Amino acid sequence: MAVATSTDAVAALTAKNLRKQFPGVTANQDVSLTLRAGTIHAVVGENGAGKSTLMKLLYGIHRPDAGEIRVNGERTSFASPKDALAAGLGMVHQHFMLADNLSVLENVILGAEPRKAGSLDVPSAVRGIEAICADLGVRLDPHAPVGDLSVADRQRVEIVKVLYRGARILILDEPTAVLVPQEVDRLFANLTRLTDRGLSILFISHKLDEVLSIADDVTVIRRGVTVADSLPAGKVTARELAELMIGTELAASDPARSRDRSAARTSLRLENVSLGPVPGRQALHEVTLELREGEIVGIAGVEGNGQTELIECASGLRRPDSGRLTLFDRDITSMDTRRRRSAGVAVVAEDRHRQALLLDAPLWENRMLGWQTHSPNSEKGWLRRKSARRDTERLLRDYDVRAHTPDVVVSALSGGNQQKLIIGRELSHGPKVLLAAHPTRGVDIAAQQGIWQHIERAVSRGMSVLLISADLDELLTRSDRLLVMLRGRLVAEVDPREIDAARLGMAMAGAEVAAP
Amino acid sequence: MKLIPHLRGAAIGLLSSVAALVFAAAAAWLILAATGASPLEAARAMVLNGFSDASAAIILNSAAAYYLSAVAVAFTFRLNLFNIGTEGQYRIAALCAAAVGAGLSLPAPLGQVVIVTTAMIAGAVWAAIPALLKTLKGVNEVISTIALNFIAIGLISYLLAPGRLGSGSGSNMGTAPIADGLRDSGIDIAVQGAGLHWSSLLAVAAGIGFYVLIERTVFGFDLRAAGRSVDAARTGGVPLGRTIVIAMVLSGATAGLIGMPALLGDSGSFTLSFPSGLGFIGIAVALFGGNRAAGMAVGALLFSFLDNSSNVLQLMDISNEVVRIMEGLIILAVVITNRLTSRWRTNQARPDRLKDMSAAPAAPAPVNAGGDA
Amino acid sequence: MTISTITAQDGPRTQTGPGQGNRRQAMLTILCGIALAVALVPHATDLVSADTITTALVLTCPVALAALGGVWAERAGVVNIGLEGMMILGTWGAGFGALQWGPAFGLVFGMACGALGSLVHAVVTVTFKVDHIVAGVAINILAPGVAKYLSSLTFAAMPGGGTTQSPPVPSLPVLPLPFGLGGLSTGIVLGLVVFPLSWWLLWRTPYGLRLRFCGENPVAATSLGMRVTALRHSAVISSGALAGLGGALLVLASSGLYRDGQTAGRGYMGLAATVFGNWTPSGAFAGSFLYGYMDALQLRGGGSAVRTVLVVAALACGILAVLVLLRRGGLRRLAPPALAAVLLTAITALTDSVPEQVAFVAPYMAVLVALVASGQRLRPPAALGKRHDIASS
Repeated sequence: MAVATSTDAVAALTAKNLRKQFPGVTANQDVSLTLRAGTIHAVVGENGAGKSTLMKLLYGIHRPDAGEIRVNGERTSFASPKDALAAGLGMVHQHFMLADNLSVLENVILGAEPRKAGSLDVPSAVRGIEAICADLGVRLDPHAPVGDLSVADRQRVEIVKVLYRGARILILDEPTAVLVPQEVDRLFANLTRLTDRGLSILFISHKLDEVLSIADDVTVIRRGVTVADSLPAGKVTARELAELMIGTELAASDPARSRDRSAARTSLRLENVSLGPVPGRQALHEVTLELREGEIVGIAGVEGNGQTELIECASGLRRPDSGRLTLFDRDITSMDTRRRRSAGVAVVAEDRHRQALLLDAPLWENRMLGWQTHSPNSEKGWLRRKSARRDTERLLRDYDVRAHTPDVVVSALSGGNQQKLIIGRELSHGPKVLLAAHPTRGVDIAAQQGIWQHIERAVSRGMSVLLISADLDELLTRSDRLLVMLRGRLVAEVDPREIDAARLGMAMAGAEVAAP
Repeated sequence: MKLIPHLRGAAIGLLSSVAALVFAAAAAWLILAATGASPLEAARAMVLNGFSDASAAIILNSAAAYYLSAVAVAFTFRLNLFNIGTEGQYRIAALCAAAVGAGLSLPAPLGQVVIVTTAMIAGAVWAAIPALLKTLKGVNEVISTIALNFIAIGLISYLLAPGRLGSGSGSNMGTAPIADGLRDSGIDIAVQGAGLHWSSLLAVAAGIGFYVLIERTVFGFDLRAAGRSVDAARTGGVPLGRTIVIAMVLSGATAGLIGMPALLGDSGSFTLSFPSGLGFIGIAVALFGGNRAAGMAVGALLFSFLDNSSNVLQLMDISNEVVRIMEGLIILAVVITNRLTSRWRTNQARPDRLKDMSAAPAAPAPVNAGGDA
Repeated sequence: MTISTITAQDGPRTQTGPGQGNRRQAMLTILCGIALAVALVPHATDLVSADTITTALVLTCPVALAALGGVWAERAGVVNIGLEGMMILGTWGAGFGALQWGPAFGLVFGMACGALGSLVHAVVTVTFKVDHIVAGVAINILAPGVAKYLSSLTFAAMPGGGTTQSPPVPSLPVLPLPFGLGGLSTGIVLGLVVFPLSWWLLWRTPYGLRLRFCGENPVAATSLGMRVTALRHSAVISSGALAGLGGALLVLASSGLYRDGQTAGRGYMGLAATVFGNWTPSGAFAGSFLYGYMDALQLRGGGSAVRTVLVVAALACGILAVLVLLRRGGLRRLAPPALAAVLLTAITALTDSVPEQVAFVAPYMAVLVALVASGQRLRPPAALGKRHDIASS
């Protein structure tokens, strides 16, 4: 794996003091890294630490406000991904950029088509692809439609695609997030073959054990700043990396709550809930959990390990293939979303814009959404517009939503205010259970605190919360109990008062959690 | 501060509609001028004709049919469902109603109720086919309603043949006439000689019903929510399949009413020369009126006015097709300006959003405030 | 069109394109069944006579060209229900061009008029990003008005012409066919040639690949430097030119004059054939041929010929059902052909001359049946009808 380790050798890619600011948010404050030629370099950091922004800067999707990027020692400035491609950079996106209905060959050659007498030179393309596949050590049928391929094969198509364009530096965005362990091993073997041929790879991840097993160097980013620039992977442990990733701020945060609700009644119970695999979705395997009144149960897990599907099953958006759901011992397995809401299940959906709001509708209509069959929004099927408007005014006041009237279109509000509106709406009908997916994602700190005050108040009156969050800090400080989810299974229960973020992060990545 | 952006938004909306009309009028002007006709003279003749007693009633009657047709499609357009089957639905419905009416010997109000109800049921049944195909089999509604329009034509021509529902020959081939007692005698409005049909008032009822159902009921809220965002509606507990089927059935039932003024008021029977194309005009009217009850009313009157003034233009040796061109241009101009203003609105909202975020007093400014970029 | 995304089920992804595995086998079986049935049913040889086939081709071509136009636009991701309107513009253009400069120019001018109509569609949908169906509806309102207006300006003053129809136009030369098959208008031959040409352009050239990618994943295409807007414009304009050519053939190869309302919904039928044919040139042609063939039968043989077709179809379905049964296909696979066979037998048993409307309705019924039976197997371009904002990518 080690080709040229001499410090004098020209680095394949260097980034120096990159800075990128978006209105209101600084995504990258000061990020630097050096990718040595012929090596694999990992960039790790928590969700939201600025990894994706860094990649977009390197690949020409965004331009840095400050700092410099050098490719093979030469200073460059990419106006678009096309320039990056021309300079020999290739990116494998986490969300594949493929056309499912077209064949592997068509996906690979698009924009770099070999021609013969005006038409596509298919034999030459096939030869090219087969040569790359051989180099990479994978097998792909060039004529198979991409939609028929497994996720791992699609990822291979993406890799072949950038190699076909002559990329010498590969950027892989969370490539293992979508793979099962055996496939991760195969991917790593493929990547090693590439570095043996002198290619360089930048590998974005937050799974520490994987990073340590594949990378030569590691760069750690925390909150937009490089906290460790190009550490040799052999000289750090997973624990040290986790500490670097999460920092020491944890000590300063609120103490974990101590509420013992083991004697309280069970509200929502899932028994052996399973969900078959659907393309692009994680299956659930025999998930069993219960929420008690006045309790917050957190689900920790790397995104895409079944949390979304869990919420979908609990809220009635998807019917599980097997298993049973009960609410205060009443079977709700076959109830649709509306009836579950009426029974007291409120939902803070994961994707605010897509699932929780009617973006071009006014606030008062958005306040009704999900609860349109309930007072004060309606009575016996008739909307009560006046009382709904009035109640929206109350909600705007109580939940500190900064909007002037209920008639403002919701898309005109900031993300934080939109989220406060959603929280207010979901808490306004005396829910017994709140399914909260990322309730404070993309929301500023003040609004986060406001949102949690409201949730905690409802919890103190007996509401149960199923909390899903990518923010470990939030999970640790807010949950009474924490369950760890991995590949569609609940694999561990931990006590949030006794585990720190580093060990929780390791548990989420699938490492064994040692007793404290 | 809070009202100004609102007012400005409304003003822009109004302005865009006016701009669309002005654009279409200007285009028509150019076309007329190019052919050597006098646009001013033409406009004068059209307006004079529009306000003469006899044609006022004709314009109102056909506006009623246009409006019913627009309401029918709006039920599904508001759900973002492109049902273009109104044409087939209203013709099937009119045929069924005519056939039932011909055999009826009921007293006046009851008989009409039976005829109108038959039409609504027939329209609803024909519309339920694409709805069920969509919810059960995922068949695209655009294609299925187009196909069903043609199937309706075939079915009608089959049923109208002598020995089945019809009699007579040529373009007179049709159902037996409805008894005189059940015909629409017309409303004696103050103007003499006017023939405004009672059945045209169905349009008013349909408009009110549409408005109330869409804007004032939970079902209407569900329908609008699903039209705006399927995902948000589902998370909000909207039963999607049921909403689709009910919307289509309502659309079909309303479509059933389209032919009633013509059937009860004019022809008294369904013949091969029964007015056609009303379903397509409804789409244009609905698009013009933004699928709103009031906007569509304006659209129905405007289109009816334009269509009925084409005869006057012919008298002046101007091709009446200028009117059709104008209608097409109006639609295009309206949809483009709507699109542009909605884009303008989002752009307006965006800086607000950012300002709001940074101006929130409690939000700390440090590096990592937003967290998720 | 957003609703369609949630109700369209994720079907088994087995079929990859025209002619593959199971599908080819099924086609072969059906063809054998039909051949066998033709041999068995009396008078059935009329159904495949040269005369019927050439008539069918003449009637198929205009619809098929509209359908091909649909393939072009929709493969690039733009829904084009304005095909009917573009076709109407084509009929006027062909009539005017042919009278003015001769039939060959009529063909070209008809295509140009169709292309002009689609230019409007392209600008409205691709540049202004208006909903594709809304724009198409507007085109279909606008185009007949424009055509009628223009014809009142041009044909009305000509001897033998009027506001709703042109004087007879010079027709295209007829190409004699070998083997006593009679002759076929050169226009029709040209129309037929466009199909393999389109297939080659769309599936065998870099331009075609890029165009189809725009219909599948415009964001990915943009990220690789494709000019999505320009590609879509070119696709939609080609689409209109093809629909215009279809309209031109109605005038120049079939009726011999321009007449108001001549297209009679052929553009809509073409759109249905686009879907029926799974967005491929060959499929679009096959779907249109069904239409043209039934039309031809009705014209030549009337109700009894159509009845013969139904008898043949009943037999073919029966044979298919037996084959499925022999291969233990299961109820789900057995039910459709068996039901169809029973239904068709019942219809033909009840009458000795099928009502003329059956021939008219049959293609549309076929489209519906095909969509119900194979809706899940059809693969529309993934980004079809969706607005593409490069800014949001």
